[in-house]
Amino acid sequence: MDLLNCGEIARDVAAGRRSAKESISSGLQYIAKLNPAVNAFTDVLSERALASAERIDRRRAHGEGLGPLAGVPFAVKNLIDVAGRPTRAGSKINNDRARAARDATLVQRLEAADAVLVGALNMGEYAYDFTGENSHYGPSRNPHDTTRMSGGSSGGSAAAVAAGMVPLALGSDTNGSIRVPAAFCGVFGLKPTFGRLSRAGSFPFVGSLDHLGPFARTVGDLAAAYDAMQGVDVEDPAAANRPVEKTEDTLQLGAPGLRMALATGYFASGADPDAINAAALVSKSLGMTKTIDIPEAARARAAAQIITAAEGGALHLERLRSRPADFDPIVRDRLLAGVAIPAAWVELAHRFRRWYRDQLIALFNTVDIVIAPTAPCRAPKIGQTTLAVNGKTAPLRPIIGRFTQPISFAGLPVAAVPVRIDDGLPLGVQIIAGPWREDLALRVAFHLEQTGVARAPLARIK
Amino acid sequence: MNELNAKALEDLLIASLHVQGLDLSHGDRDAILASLQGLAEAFALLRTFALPDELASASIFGLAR
Repeated sequence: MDLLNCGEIARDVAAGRRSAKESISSGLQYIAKLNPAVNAFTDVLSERALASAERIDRRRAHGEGLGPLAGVPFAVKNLIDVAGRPTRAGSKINNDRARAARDATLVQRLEAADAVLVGALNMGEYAYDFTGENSHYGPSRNPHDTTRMSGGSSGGSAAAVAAGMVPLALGSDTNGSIRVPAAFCGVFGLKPTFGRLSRAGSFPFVGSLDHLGPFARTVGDLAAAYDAMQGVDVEDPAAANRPVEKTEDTLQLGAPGLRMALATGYFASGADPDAINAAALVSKSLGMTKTIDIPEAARARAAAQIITAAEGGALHLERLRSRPADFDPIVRDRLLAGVAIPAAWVELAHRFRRWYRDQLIALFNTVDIVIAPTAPCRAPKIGQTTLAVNGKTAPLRPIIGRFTQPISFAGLPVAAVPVRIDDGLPLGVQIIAGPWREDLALRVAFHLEQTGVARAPLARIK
Repeated sequence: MNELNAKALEDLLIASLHVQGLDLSHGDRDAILASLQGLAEAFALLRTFALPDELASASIFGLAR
C-alpha cells in the first residue's frame, strides 16, 4: 500500500485522485496489520473514522472546499478526550471514569481541517514515564527494533508514526514525553511554547508543565498540523491569548540568517557520546561556530522533578488512597513519594523556575536557536533498568530526561528532529527557540530535513 | 544520603503519608523511599542556590503570557 504523508494525502483527496474513505480504509488495514507487533493503539475507531471520511467525500462531491488535512488519518495519545470513549491516560483506573462527553479541543481543530481521527494510542501510565512501558496494556514497541523501547510517555504516538500506521499523531510533553519518543522512534515532534496549544479535554499530569503537540514524519506535516491546532481557548486556563501565527508558509526561509548556538557544558556531558555527537553534527551542518551555556540546567532539572512529583502526587491523592493496587507499581511509588514532600521544597522550585525562565528569556535575546541533544542514549531494550554513562551505571528512567527537562521547565518551544549518525538506531536533537518562536524552530528543522541531516524514514518492522 | 538522613526521610514519609490517609502499605516501602531520596537530593541541589527574597514564583499564567 502507499504510505503517504499528510500533504500528499490531502492534495490527493482534494483533487479527487483518491477518496477520503480510501485513505482511511487503507490506513485502518495497515493499523490492523502492524499493531500486534508495535502495540501502539489501545483503541481503533473504525466506525467513526469511516463515517467521517464519507462525510468529507460527500462534501467534496457537492463542490465544497476541503480543509488542509483532508482525509489525513490521525490518532491521539489516550489521555486526550474522544467523545464516548474512556480517557485511559494509560491507566486501568481511568477506565471506570465517565466516558468523554466530547472531543478535546485539538481533536476538534484537526477535524475542522478535515483530518480523520482513527484511534487512541498507548502511553505510560498517567504520563509519568520515559520508556513507553505500561503494566496494564503492555509496552508500545519501537518499530525500528521491537525489542526496544518506544520512549515515553507518548510512546504509542511516536511508534505509530514511525511505523507508518498514521502520518500524524498527538502526544503530550511534561518533561520530555514528546521529544524522547520522537528521538527513540526516529520521527519529528513539536513541543510548542507553554500555553500555545490548548490542553482542554486532556487528562492532566502536571498542570504547570503539561504541553500537547504533534508527531509526523515530515516537518511540513508537523507545521500543517500545528497551524491547524493553534488558537485561543478559554477552556484551558493556561492557554495564552495569542493570535494564530502560521508556520507552514515560512518553512522555506530555512536557517540562513538565524543566530544559532550549540548548548555546551551540561548538555555535552552525562550521556552516550553518540547522543552528544548527533547535536554536534547538526551544529556543524548548519555552519554554526558559537556555543552557549544554559545557566543552571542541572538545578532546573532538579526543580522540575520536585514540581512534577508534588503536582502529580496531589492530583492522584484520592486514587492512591482508594486504589493503590490498580496503579502501575513504578508510577504509584513515585507518586507516593511526591505526596510526602514538604511544601517548602515545591515553593522553592517554583521560585527558582521564575529566575530560570528570566535567564533563558534573556539568553534568547542574544540567539534565535539553541541546539541540544534530546535523549542521552538510543532506545534501550524493553525492561532495561540501568544505563552506563562514562563508565558509571545509573538508573535508566530518570536519566532519560536529562536534556529535555531543563528546556520544558522554561516553557520554550522545541522541534525534536531525528538524526542518524550511522546505521544504528536513530538519535534525537532539540531545536530550541525563544518563547512563541515555533516558526524559527520549524524553519531550522525543515532546513535540516531538506539537507538530509534530519530524516524520518519508515521503520521496517521485522 | 547518610544513615541519619535516611532515617529522617523515612520518618517524614511515614508522617506525611499518615496525615493524608495513607501509609507504607499503599506501595512498596523501598521504592517509595528511593524516590523520596532522589527528590531530597534534588532539593539539596536547589537549596544551595541563592534566590532573592523578593522573587515571586512563576505561575503557569506568568509563563503563558
